[in-house]
Amino acid sequence: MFRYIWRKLKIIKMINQLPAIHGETFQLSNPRSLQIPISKILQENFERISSIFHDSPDVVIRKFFIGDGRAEALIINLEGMSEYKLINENIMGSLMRVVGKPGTPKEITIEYLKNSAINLNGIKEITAMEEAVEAVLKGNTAFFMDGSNVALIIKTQTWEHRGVQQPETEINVRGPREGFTETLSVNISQVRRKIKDPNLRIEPIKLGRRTRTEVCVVYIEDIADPKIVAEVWRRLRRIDIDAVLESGYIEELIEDAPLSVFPTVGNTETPDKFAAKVLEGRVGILFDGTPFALTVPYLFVESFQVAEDYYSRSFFTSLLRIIRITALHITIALPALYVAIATFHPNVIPEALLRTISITREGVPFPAFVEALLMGFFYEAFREGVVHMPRSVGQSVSLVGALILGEAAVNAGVISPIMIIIFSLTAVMGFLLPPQTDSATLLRIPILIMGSFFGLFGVLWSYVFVIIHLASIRSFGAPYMSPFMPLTVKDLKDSLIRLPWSMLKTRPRVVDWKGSTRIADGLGSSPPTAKESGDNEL
Amino acid sequence: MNHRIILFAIMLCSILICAGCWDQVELNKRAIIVAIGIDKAEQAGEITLTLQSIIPSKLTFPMRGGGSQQGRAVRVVSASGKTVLEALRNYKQQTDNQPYLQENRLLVIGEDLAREGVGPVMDFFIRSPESKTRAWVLVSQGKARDILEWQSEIRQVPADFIDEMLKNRINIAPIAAEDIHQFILKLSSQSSAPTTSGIELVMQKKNLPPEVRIFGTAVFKKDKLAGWLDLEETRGLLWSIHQFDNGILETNLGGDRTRNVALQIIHSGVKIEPTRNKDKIAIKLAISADGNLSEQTGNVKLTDKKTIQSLEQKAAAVIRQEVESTLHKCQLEYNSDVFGFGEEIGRKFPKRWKALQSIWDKEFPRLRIQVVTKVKLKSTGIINDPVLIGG
Repeated sequence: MFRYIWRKLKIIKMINQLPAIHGETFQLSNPRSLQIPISKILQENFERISSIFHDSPDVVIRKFFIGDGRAEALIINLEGMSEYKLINENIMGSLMRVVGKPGTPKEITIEYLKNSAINLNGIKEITAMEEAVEAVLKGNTAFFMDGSNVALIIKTQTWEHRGVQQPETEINVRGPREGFTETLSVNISQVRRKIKDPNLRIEPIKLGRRTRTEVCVVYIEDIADPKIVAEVWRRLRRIDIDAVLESGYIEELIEDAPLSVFPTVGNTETPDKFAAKVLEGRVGILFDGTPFALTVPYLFVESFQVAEDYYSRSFFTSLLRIIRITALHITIALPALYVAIATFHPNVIPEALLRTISITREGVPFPAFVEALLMGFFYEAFREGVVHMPRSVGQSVSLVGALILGEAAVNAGVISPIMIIIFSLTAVMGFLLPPQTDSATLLRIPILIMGSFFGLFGVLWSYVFVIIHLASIRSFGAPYMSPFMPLTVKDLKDSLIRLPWSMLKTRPRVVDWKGSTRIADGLGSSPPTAKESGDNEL
Repeated sequence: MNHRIILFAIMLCSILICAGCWDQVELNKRAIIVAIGIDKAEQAGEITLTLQSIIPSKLTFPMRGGGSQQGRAVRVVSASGKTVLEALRNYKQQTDNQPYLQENRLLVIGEDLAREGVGPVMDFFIRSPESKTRAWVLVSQGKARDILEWQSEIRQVPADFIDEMLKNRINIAPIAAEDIHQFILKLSSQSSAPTTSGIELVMQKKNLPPEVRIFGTAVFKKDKLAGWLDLEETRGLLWSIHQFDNGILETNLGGDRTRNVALQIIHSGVKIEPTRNKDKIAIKLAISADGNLSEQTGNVKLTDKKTIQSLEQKAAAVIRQEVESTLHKCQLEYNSDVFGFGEEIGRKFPKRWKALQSIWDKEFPRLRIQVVTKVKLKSTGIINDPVLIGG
């Protein structure tokens, strides 16, 4: 049975590895095979471009004469993605008015126009039609001149975009309020502003045959492990997909354990967290079109680390870490533990509590297991409803949910109050660890089933299985459960607890290849001695 | 990869073997038993098992309101059988739910049955994994069923009331109650005999419902009830089996009968020392106690060292008297080694004990026991002087 499934999976894998067969349409992904040179005759170029774009309403193709009518020219751009003011003033304006005045050479070359006529910063010469088309699609303006097989790409990108705002996820009480946006250049500038280090490498790649999404790999050269950087590049280069609309596309294609419920690639929406990860030696990946950036390698312990942990004082942070870990266990195992104990081992429950529970169970039509399954299903359904509804509708969904689950179901005797308590706790605890919410939800039901069929033994068995699984997965070469499995004593300083900053001397070992220090010795707090403070007479 | 799948399959199989869903019972399908009573049945050789179980819907909580106030929160049902298990099976004919014994607080044995021997019925309570060995063993004067049917005015579940009463006994009353585990340990010992508290119903007044009361101590000989110890003798027993911590010791300073003094014992120690003179074995029972003065009805000045010494001596004499009366009763009247002297001898003189063991029944009443007691007054409370000065 397993062998059969395994074989099937192998075949599917093989099919996926076959080279993609491209259609007849114009494809940008493979410039070498479809190199179309730019023609010297303007009319030919015009026809070719018209056929490529099929007269899309947003494509503006404008023929005009340069200066005193000496040469015919053509500019192409996209409406809404190019800045019209620049095109009108600095391209067409210059070319029509400036050229032809005294002092212009007799023979107008494209070289001359580039150097002396078009007063714009971003300008580039190209010879292939693909480059022109791609540039136009990005919002640039392509300039063709009759008699020249070289075209100019002039940077005129602009589009309507969202400004830098406070992110919806990862909300800090103390810490920067800004979040990434959908615009890559803005995101890069946000990272650059945090890390003013010439060693910060930002290396671009285009992913997606049709979307041509710009993706940047970000790391600090003398901190990040070159092996990890190389691995990231290897995995990114391998990708051949037609669209990348969100970082999730790439996340699933580069993660180590795509069949695991646990995430092995981290994502963040805030530049400060992104910068912190990069400064720890991780490799970050920024995407155009989404505010979510990825960071690798991603360890299990990072689920407990919140950006604010490093901004607030260490004792309280350590307490919060312990609460988060406890919460994870509660949200995964509490329903299973309850069902297992109530149906198999009631002797574990303190006597008085047992009576209270048995009163609440009185007259409930379903066995505890079915009750738990129902509650689990409806809770997830309500959550989904509230999250994706418009805010005004969401409120009424949550109101109805609270009424149905909290009041009516108990009063009608359909669900026992103790189960409501169990699932309320489970639900609330689940919110403490946003990165592991998915995995906790997915693990909850199997463990519940094991618990209700095999008692505490089943719960224990499931736990053992999950821990074995966790110990077996890696993220870009780093053991997922590090620093616990394998035990790295030095990295424990920022795991279950966070030591004060003065003691966080080294970066995490599994991601930091040079073991460099991030804070100087002797910065621990101590009151200044009389000598240091200089004035001891008060 | 293949061996991983095999390993996974083995683990899956192991879970099927190691655990199972056959012992899965929903909470509301269990009848929570809080007290068990055993009596002699009318038919010879049979016992009657009385079970007190909770009716959850009748239980009320002050915060919650809810539950119907009418009727008792417990159900008391009896069933007979040759063995405890058979009686339990017969009980199932009278109940809808699975009896759940892990919550059991009390095991009340009727006096009639106790006189015939509790050995046959106790086996189930230590052998069965369903039973709870932390439950109290009590011997009832009269039928055990009557005790179980008694309704407490304070607690909805009467077994809770008795359980709490026994748990809180340490500071107040001399009660020598044992739980099933301790009881059976002594029962199965070669020489020792178990003891436990008795329980009875007392009529307070006419027209009023009776109240339950823990009294004296039931002394067993082997597994048969030999007789009872009264309050004073129970104290003597507690002194000599080292269970008198935190008790109250009353003594008199001589002369006037009103000059009573009460000591709160804060610590006590017992040393049972077998001694050997040629073939003759004797026991030296040394009891020491530390106490605080908590009350005096006379007007003794306790700043005087001499007074304190005489007080200590008088208190020690009281202890000796109590212990000796118990020893006397147990040795001569019941011939029951409830103190565990035999085991002490066996520990110290194993060879001699081998010979003695078989004739212990004859030897024990003749055993010479020397009682040495010592009391130390640690504090006289918040005041030194008596309230009434002079006189």
